[in-house]
Amino acid sequence: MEREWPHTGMSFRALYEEHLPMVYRLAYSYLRNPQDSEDAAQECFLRLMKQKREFRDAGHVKAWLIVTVSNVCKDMLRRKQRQELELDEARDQASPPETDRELLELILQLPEKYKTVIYLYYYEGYAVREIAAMLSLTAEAVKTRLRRARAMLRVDLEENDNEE
Amino acid sequence: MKNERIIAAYDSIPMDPELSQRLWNELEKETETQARRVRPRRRLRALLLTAAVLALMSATAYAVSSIHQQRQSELREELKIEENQVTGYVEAELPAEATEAVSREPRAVLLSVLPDFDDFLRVYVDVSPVEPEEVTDGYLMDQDEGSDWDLYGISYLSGLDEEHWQEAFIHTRDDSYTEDELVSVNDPETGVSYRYPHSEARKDKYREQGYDPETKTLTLECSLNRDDVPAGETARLHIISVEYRAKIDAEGIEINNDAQPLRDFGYVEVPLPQKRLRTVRFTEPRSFTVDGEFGPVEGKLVGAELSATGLTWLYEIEGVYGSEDLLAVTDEMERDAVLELQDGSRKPVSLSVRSELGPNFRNICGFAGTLDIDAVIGITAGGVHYDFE
Repeated sequence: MEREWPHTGMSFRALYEEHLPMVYRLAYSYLRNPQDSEDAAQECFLRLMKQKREFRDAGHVKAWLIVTVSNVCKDMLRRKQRQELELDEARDQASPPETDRELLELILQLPEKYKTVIYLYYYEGYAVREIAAMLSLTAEAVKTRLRRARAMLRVDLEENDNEE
Repeated sequence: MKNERIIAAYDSIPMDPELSQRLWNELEKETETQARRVRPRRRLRALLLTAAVLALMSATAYAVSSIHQQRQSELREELKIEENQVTGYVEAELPAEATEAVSREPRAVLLSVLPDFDDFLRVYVDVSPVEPEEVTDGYLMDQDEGSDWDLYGISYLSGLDEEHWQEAFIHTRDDSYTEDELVSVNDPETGVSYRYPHSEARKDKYREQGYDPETKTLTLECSLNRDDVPAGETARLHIISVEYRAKIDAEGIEINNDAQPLRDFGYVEVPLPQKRLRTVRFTEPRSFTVDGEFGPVEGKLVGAELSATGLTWLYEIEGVYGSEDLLAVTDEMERDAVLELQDGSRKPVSLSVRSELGPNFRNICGFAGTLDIDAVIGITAGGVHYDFE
């Protein structure tokens, strides 16, 4: 487990330490409870451990983890047959979130497909074209999701879709 | 582009400070467990190999092999299970005797199950012992010197019971069929020309790709429909082989329907895994109009349901009076369908199965291998491009 991962210059432990918070946060945004999020994070790193593919660099590992944690969480949600919470009309008309916690609650309630793009764009700082490549979407689809997510969150987030 | 409010919101997700160490301990435990699982097998294999050498030296007829493990590994690779992140693929636990000597009694060993298109499951099974001359399928032909034609082959059948026998195919790594030399035979009674694949090339392929002569093991690909399975978590699949014989001469084709089962390989318990679906609704479906029986028929392709092994079209159709109308409008909407993948490649989609005609009519397309459904970014069908949102 201490071996160095090819092309990344990092050991598995170092990759784990660096990316666990990101994997856990992303899992939490889907699953909304600590235990399931831990399970998802563990599953992701187990898959990474067994992964035979060669990663190009550390960024490639990170992108792989992001896609994998999204897929793991989607599968877990399907298995549990949870219903995705859609923001309803009444919530749309409520006042904008004032605290970080209120904003987080709104993020957690976003439909699955918006959560990842919001996280990648505004938290991780990936460009639209990078997110598109990572999630197998067109750049236009990513922009559309960002626009809709912004509207649902009702906060004054900067729009700069052309900056790729 | 980072945003401070979003960063602060995500940072407010509660994270146990002990989480990192706790999960790391779990990962280490899992690694040790896997190592423990592997070591005894390696030791066992070494012992068995030694036994095999000794057995061969003493001219014993048994051979030793872990052919089932090897086949499982090959299938996983061929089907790109990890590369395409295929969910629902289940590898069976191999029985203890699977690494022992060749069985003299016919037996079947379940290798794995893949949720196939629609409600089907693809079930991979090893059967043994199978003699080299039985590595063939039905409809093979030998041409006599004279005008008569003898057809002989062996069909492998699988089913939940005799009512549901289906042909089980000998597994091969590639699906090419063209290497067979096709021989035409005219049936004077019906006037129909039958074309039969000439046997040798196909037999060679089966022997190279689906058969292990050392253990006399043949790998089969069986199909099972969930709708046929009684309620429960598993299905009992029965596998047999039967002889196929036919005679063709100036009088016509005579098929021997009284062939008895050649071997009964018994049953395997098949789990019934679920598959992951990606349902896509097209944001701007285009209307197609065709001339129907009693007027225009209008259809819209409104989406598609993708799985790793197939695609089902979703429609809105109006003005249908009969099956011809339905088929005409769906054919038009799905014409020359091609999936577009993230890496720039394109995968043609062709019809595999139509559901029963009716209000819930579906056209279903199966893939030969598997597909990473998250890598699909669009589709072109009926001359219209649809983005996958």
